[in-house]
Amino acid sequence: MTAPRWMRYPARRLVAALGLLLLAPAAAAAQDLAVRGATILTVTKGTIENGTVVIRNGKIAAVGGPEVTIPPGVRVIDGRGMYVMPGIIDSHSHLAIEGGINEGSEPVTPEVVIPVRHDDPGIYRALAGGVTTMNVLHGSANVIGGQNAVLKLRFGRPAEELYFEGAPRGIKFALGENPKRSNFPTLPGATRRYPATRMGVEDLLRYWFTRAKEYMEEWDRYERESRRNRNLVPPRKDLRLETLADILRGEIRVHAHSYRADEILMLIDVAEEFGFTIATFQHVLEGYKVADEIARHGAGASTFADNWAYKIEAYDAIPYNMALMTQRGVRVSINSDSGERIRRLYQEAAKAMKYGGVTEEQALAMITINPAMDLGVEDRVGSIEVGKDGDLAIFNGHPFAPASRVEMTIIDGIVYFDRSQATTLEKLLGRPAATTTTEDGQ
Amino acid sequence: MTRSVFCAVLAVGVAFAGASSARAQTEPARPEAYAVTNARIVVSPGRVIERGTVVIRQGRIEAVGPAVAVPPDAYTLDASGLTVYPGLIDAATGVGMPRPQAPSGPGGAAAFLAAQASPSDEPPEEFRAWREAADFFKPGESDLEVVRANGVTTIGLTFTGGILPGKVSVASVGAGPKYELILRTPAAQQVAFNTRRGGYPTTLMGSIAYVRQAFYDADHLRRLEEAFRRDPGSVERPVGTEQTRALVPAASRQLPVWFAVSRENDLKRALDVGQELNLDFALLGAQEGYRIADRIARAGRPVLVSLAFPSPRTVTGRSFELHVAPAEGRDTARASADSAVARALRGNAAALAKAGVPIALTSFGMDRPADFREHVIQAVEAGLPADDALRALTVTPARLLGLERALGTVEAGKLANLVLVEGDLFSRDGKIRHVFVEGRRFDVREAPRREGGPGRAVGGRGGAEPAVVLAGAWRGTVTMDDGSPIPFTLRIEQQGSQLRGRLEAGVGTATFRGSANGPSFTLEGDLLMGGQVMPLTVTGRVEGDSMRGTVSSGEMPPFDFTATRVPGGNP
Repeated sequence: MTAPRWMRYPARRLVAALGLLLLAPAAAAAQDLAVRGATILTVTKGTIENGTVVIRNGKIAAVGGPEVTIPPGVRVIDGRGMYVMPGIIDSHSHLAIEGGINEGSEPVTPEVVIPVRHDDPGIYRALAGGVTTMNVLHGSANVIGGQNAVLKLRFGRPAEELYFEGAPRGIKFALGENPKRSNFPTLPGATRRYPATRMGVEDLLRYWFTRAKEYMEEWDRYERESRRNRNLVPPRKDLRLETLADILRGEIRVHAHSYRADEILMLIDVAEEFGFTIATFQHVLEGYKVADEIARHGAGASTFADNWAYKIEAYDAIPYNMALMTQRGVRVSINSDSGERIRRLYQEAAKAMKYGGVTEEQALAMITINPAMDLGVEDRVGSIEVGKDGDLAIFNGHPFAPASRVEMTIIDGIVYFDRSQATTLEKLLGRPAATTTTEDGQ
Repeated sequence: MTRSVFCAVLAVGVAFAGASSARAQTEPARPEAYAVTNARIVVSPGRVIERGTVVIRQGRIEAVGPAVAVPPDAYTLDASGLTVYPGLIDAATGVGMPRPQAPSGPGGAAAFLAAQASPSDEPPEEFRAWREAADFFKPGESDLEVVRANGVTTIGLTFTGGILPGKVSVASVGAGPKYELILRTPAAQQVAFNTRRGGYPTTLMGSIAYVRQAFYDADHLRRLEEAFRRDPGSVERPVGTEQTRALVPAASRQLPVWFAVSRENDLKRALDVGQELNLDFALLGAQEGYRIADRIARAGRPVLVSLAFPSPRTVTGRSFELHVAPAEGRDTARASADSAVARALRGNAAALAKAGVPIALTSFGMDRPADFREHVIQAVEAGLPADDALRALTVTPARLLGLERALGTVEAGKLANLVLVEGDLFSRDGKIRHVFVEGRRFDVREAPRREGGPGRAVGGRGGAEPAVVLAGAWRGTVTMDDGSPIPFTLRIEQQGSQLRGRLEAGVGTATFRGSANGPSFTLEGDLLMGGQVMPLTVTGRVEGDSMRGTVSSGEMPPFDFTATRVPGGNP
């Protein structure tokens, strides 16, 4: 019996690769870089053939044709035959979370904040799909879940260096079957968690925002009266109500997991009654039915391309959702919600052209500048423009062509993924990975 | 008593009649006075008297020096060839404390339902901030003998698990009723970002939020109480739960807080929370402290380093490797990577000390307290200078326990806690011969070497027991945190205490290696789930044809499981 070939591969090479990964990368390399000779999809300023991008100190310093001069000493990437687009932005991910994604013991938990784990291999996989920024959200078990983390995928750096500097705070809401726990088995005899209906979801929203208003009034009263009464004690600091108060003050962006048209309208009503705006509806598979209302409210819509019927509330999904909402003036983005789909968001965006015929630029915007606006970071990322962050994805073909793949992913002018250097399965095996299963006879 | 007076009279009367020879027959358990003579004395780290005498009276050190006269009423121990060190302090241990084992009583789904069905006024086990460890300290005599055999004379009593489990107490490891052993309580408030099952908080993020809110509440209660004392007419009457009241001293820096955290990012979270809440805090455990030693040093917080070395494969960063190689090759690569990580883990204390962090070495979280000195020696071998190790077992823990004036050095006025070693305390060849605890002398018997390990167990504890028969097939259920059950089958092959296993569940399959010790076993392996690999550790206990225990992954809280043997071994 001969050992399968994959048992004989050189372990030393792997150990060396592991060693590199276990160490934080050496002190940030010079954040200067240039790409020359590539097709540049700027998203906001058209497409440049035979184009040049120059990054200095992590920021885009020049964008143009072959005439753009590259300062001496700057590393130049040969972009001939390549396509360069802005680093992809995922408006909805659950990667890099430590210790559980749902504080599902109670239906309203805005006080919890996503704890970031920097060694999730999913970050590296996402980089291999050209993603440079992601919105890491609490799960959808709760009507009001936890606070988010907007991250740049600086894989190998310590957790605190992954945070997108200056990104506005955000929070997860969820409507429908998940907060109702409709699709989650309850042990016979166990108590079901409130709410069990969409009515209950709305009730909880009103109840808690009413309490948050009272909390704000209590503090206002204290501020007024403490001037007269020196012995007055500040009210109890309540992390839950304080977070809700910050939502009412417009300091936290609400990302609301939602499916059905009726619940989307309900949340718009509640938000407008309490005086805040929903930043994005997430998934929003029936958004095409209420696109005008979403646009009027000023929310974005972050959806799936063609995910359909995986539960009752997803039955009315159509792949034309992206195009229809775009036509009605809604800002549309496409999210992953998955460590797998995040590797191919560019293919999901291509579907927006197939179904409903949005323009190439509109489809690209759904994974770049639009999600950047979802997160309030559009002045930093989402397009290739002078002054923006040096976040790029370099493809070996047009990102929307089925066989194209990411060759290099760059954040702040630093290469975080380079397929030629990556420890791919092919390199470990010394042959194409696809034959592994047949050789093992499985 | 009469005998001791008689002996004293005899000693004075006969002048130099050699109390040491009299001692063999007549020395009382705790003489009024004792003289350790002709000893090399390590007064404190770096301060050595090459040949001198320590005089002990009424449990205190009366005099130390090269030319100290032996009082006529003192029993004498001729310590020629021995070195006297200050009694060691293990500032955080579970010795003598209740240990929540794998859940007893009905496990799995039944336990989840039981917890849900019996809401009581009593807060859950995880929230008992008012408890003091001293009230739960129930050492068996062999427990303390094991501790003394390591040269340890003072222990910090800590809880296992919990979020706000209670307050740390300090005990002497001498003999006598428990209330006599307690030296100080409370000495610190223990806090951890653990989770609960079946109620808030079930996640790390929930746990952090819970802890923050609890301290804000205590701070609020303190303000209310102060205002109420000043002018009861102008403020609401203060009301606080037992837990909120218990946290007031820690919230107002009257009592130190110890955050029990081990992994890199949890250490950072503890630093952040401790700073946000303006606590007087230390880190407890900190097994991955070496990864962020400079950050901890900058924060200026002391660390009570646990010498319970984690498995290399659970260390932060190891999951990077799981996606880069196929299964069998990974085992080969992991073996060499594991040994490098294992070295780094043993070098944790050295790395922290080098970065300038004040450290104490502790047995916190160690399954076998008998191995404490062996682990100290491993930490020294991994680069911790002997003087730093001694400081980390004497002066620093004394300070962290608030007992720096009573403990930590061989100086007049301090409690007479001493270790007498033939050879070097931090070498395996060095033999601990005698331990004095508050003037009471204990002679250390040399334990037979434990098979397969260098333990120095004293008494009946800690040896490897013959493994129970695990071989065969088992069928059971893992209960997730929301109570949902996941059925699995587990096949185990066994050679002596060595185990190999394969688990099949709806979510994926896993292969394991592990070992059994008596009825307990541990398996470590990888669960292949879709295209993803998740490291799993299974620990459990077998009783007849059933087993129960927990399944954990580095990133998640542990889940309970139960299983029963499949007759004929074929599920």
